[in-house]
Amino acid sequence: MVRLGLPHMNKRRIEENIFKGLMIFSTFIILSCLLLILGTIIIKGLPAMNLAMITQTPKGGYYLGKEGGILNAIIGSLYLAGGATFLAILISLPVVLYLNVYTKKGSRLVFFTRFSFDVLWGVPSIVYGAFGFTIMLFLGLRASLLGGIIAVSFLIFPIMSRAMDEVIRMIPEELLDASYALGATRLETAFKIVTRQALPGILTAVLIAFGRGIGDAASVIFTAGFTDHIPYSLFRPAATLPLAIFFQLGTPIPEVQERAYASAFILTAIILIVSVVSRILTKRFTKHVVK
Amino acid sequence: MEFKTHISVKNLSVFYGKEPALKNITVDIPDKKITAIIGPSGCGKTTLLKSFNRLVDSIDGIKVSGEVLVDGENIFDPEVEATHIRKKMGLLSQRPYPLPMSIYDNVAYGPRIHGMKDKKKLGEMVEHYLKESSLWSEVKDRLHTPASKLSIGQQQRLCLARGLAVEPEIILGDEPTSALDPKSSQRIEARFLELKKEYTIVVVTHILRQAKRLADYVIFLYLGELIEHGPAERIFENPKEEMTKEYIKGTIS
Repeated sequence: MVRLGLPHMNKRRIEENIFKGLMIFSTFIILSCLLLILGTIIIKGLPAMNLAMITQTPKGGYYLGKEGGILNAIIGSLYLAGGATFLAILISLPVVLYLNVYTKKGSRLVFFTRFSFDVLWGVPSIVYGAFGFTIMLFLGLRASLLGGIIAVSFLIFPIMSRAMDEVIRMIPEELLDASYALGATRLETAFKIVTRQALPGILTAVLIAFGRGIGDAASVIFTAGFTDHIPYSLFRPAATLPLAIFFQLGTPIPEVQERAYASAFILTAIILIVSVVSRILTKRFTKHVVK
Repeated sequence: MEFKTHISVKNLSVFYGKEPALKNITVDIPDKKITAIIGPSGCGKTTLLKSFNRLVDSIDGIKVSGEVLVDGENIFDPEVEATHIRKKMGLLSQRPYPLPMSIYDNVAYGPRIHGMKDKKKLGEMVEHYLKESSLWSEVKDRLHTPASKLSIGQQQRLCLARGLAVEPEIILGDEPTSALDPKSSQRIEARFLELKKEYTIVVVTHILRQAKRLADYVIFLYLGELIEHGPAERIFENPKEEMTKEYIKGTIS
């Protein structure tokens, strides 16, 4: 048997260990970030948490430390993110189905559409806010729930489309061929095969977009406005959690600042609950997915 | 042996971009027989097969010239709907691709898109075609479970049932047993020998012994060219072309 040079082997082993160590370190940083963020909002927010926070709207002097809660912002955010997610699905799903089922692989249109997803993804949310605001002026809308929904749907539609596109692209060509071979049209194949097969991925895309939408402050600051009341009309201003956090954190009063952390905790909890519930619900619908 | 023609290929050429995949193929495929397309990998066998149901349409940069007549109708005529052509043919691919739905819905998919609404009749069709592909006894108690849970051999028989359920005249097989174990392959082959009484079957294979077991008629392709075609016994016993001789002997593969 030929003996390999030992020094060389050692060097490679050390190299392996150093890089493995670095990778573990990076993983650790990511995990600790998550834990630190959760820890901060829990430790700082929990003392201010009470039932009134989630069951009442702000009473007079709430931002000075008096009674009340942020139910207005909770409901407002849910309406707003829900509406924007719905609008974004209406745009995203047709776009990605078109790109993946109807167009030829190498076409320019496909390339530029995907490129525009990337560009739109990178546009800062304040720009969507400003853009939404000009559209509202054009339509004669004032700061309102509807205005916010439109601005946020602009913000999250590229995120949703891109995430959907990634999963739908992974569907094997042969599966589509199997459907075509049975005489199905492209439309039938898109809605009966592609959406079913990609359902888990489509759902993830919707959730990511919802999470981004409910958590964004800059796009709603001009478009949705703010109010102490629970929104009852699409054409009235609506409060949102990110702005509630912003206003509370901006006061000089420590108790109100604590409430900001409690609000952040509520926002995070909403995202968590929505993800978990929809994961459980879709487990039932995804059993048919072909691996 | 006299054959009645079912599919008639006339001067068919297919190009992938500038690369020719099939060069000026002219051949008649006999009715209610098993025709095997043989030849080495990458010689255009699958392209020829996929030309028959126009699945080549969806390949990027493809160019087709010539004619393929099915029941006297040129399927590449721009007036002809691809879905109409495809309804006449069932396809079995190299690996089974069950649709992301239940066993029942897989078989019912074809009839449903072609407008079958009667639930009772649909149920009867599903049972009938699952029996035709000898899968019924294995799945009759779990028709509404996901098709993806079946073994790969069962999946291929499900794909056969699914294809038969659109009531085609022709069955196309693109190396339909290449992903299957010997037992499952045998079952598919046995079904083919039974089904040829009612259907025209065209099978691509690179397994010579399979071609010998199944084929009534053989088409030998080499690098996109039709080298030789004829009744199976004649091709295997007494090939005319040097290339065919060598391929059958195993000198080239």
